[in-house]
Amino acid sequence: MDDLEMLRAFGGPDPVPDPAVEARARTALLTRTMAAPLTPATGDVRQQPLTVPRRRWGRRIAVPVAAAVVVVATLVVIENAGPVGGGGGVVSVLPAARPANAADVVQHAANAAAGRSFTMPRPDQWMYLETRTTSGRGPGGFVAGGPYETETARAWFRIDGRQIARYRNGKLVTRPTMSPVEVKGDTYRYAQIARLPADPDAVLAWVRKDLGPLAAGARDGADQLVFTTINGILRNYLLPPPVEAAFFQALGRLSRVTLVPGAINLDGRPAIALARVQEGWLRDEILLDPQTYRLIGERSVAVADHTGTSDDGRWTVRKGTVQRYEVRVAAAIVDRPGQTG
Amino acid sequence: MTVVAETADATESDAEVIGRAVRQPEAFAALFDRHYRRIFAYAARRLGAGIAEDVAAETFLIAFDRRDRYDLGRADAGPWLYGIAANLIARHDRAEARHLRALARSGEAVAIEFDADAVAGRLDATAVRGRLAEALAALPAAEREVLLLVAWAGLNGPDVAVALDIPAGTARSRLHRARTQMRAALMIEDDTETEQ
Repeated sequence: MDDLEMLRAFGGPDPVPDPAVEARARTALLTRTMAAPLTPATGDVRQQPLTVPRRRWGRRIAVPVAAAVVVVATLVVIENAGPVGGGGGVVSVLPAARPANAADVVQHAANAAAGRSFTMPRPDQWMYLETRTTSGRGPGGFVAGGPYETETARAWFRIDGRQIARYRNGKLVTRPTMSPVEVKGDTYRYAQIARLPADPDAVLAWVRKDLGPLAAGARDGADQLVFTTINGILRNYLLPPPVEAAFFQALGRLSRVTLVPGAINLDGRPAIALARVQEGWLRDEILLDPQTYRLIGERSVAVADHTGTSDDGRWTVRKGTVQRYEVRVAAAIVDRPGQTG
Repeated sequence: MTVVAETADATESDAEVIGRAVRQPEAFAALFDRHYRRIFAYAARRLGAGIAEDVAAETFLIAFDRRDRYDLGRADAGPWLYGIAANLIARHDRAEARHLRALARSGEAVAIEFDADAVAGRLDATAVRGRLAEALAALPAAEREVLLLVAWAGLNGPDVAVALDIPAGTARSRLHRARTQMRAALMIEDDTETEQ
């Protein structure tokens, strides 16, 4: 039984509505349809009275409207982002070897990784990761202008995949993981990733195969999910440099991956980004230190105004709003949980 | 002269029903008949039957009012309706927290088998329910939404992206993060706790 199956069991069998409840809801809908003009209104539906004979409605519907008007963006990107090769006028933070495009960054990152010393961890060692994530709250998780919440996560993952350690109520607790054979889906064992051939084509083929038909279902094409998956692997593992370099080079082989050369400031640290725009408005960025080309975090930024259409239209994301960012505070291979490097 | 509304037959897609309802509003009832119980079930799992009653009814009123904005290229309106419901559910975070605590105390037993090499033992059902509830409550709202649309509404990744109007890559990374949290929560404490 994997985690999703357990959640299903936790949720129990489908709750069935009382027939009277269903009949009331249907009547409310029919009443609405009979009152409707032949051409439906495209204005704000909340201005129309709702006719279901139940308490509380007016208030619940009114509140989000007010909230949407009042909140003001607190995090807006100040940067100079350009497409691949569009270096004109962009002030780079790089003193030398300034990358001109995504291909350059990929190559720099690969070179830097290749020059790093690394000892393949033993199965009984641990990978320590500390990340600080700031993201929006609210239904779609998108930030129309706040509020944000920030969370720091510290965890030790045993290299053989059998245990995880975290702080719980101030105490470091080590627990076994669920049986790996029962965990289907997108979690990989360290060795599975770390022993991939240090070859961009090979890691790319491996990711595409792992995604399978899932990628084909994406509105934005398979490469977006490949980008997201590689981003996740880079985020969740501290890999042998040659393998990490291969993943960076694999990113360079995806369509529409661009360099964001401007001085992105991530918690006071300058960063450059390898990025891909999802569906024309949300740019996912993998952030690198411009000197060492180490991974320092990731960010998602709206690069165009975007209005959600699947809900009742309450949110519009303004161009320039940061939707989420995550800082890699620390990443190290250590001998025991609790050690941080 | 008698005017009888055409009723939808099984071969008519949701998109066709919605398209027809633009000119013939009462046709929209067919969409209710097809999807109401699913939407109610999802809302009731999230919030309990009492509030689900309001949420499910309101979902169809909002859907009706916005029928002219429906992307008629999408034959199945399920993801769209779940998206509307999800946004209504998100307004009830306190009720959801209460309901999760109630779910933790009752309901079906959930047992987990652990990797025999890693640990001797299993969590009892009550402990599992408590951990699941606690972990769900601790997730950021956006990740909880994606996870539960998959686990409880049965949507796949691309459908979740449509429901919440988020890019598919975003849906996938949220699902990944949420599942990682759930797995971490479902681990048994080792005999040896490392004090620090």
